[in-house]
Amino acid sequence: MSDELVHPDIAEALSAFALDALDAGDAADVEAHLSVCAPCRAEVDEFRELASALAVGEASAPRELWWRIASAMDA
Amino acid sequence: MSEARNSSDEALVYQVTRRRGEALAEIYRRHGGAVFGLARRVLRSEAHAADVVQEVVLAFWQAPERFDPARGGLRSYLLTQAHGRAVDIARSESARALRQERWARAFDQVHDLGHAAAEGDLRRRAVASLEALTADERRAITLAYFGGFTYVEVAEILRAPEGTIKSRIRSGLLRMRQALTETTEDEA
Repeated sequence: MSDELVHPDIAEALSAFALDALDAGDAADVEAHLSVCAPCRAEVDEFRELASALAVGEASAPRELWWRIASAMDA
Repeated sequence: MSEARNSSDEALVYQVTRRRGEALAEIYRRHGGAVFGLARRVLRSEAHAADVVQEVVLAFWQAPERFDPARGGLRSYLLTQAHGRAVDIARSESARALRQERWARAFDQVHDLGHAAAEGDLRRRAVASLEALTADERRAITLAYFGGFTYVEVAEILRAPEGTIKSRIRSGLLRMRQALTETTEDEA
């Protein structure tokens, strides 16, 4: 996604939004814009994908937590 | 279970829509560690992180159609859901002491990078992303993403203008995109 396709005034808000770094009011404004703007939505999706590359986390998830989830699945 | 292990994420999502619990178990096995690690890093609490993971995994089980593969991968979707939830919890901490502790730890977050254990390819991508950033960009992105701070709070912590922090977050993400493109080309 090239920058020209994204509204310039909102470009920086999109990157902060993708990292959940806006306060609730600003985030609601961006969400309203995203609901009507596919290029900006694609940009946010791409930034979230990039951010998730940073979240390497643990090699494995806690096993006991899975049992807790499994027992809640059919509740 | 061995069949699930060999399935793509896409195939597992389809199985979840057909209410196959073993597919959800495999998704948890595959991505739960990253989701848990991210939530724990933002919340600095194993118990709160476990609650977030449970909430996100169960929400996906109950409404898998909310995941739109056209908008990104399953891993990224689950991480995004967990991050949003963890940040909400972190910001709603009404107890003043907890909030102050979170702020006091902000500087640890800046220096606490890339130590997590992870599978080779994912780790290489994460390291490549981080190394591409300038020190200023890395601080801003780390505080926002792992610290769960708004860019206004990041500006306060780093004593920099708010507009500057917003710009650093953006230029950092663009640089990460460039670095990942190059990493992918090197592998090709």
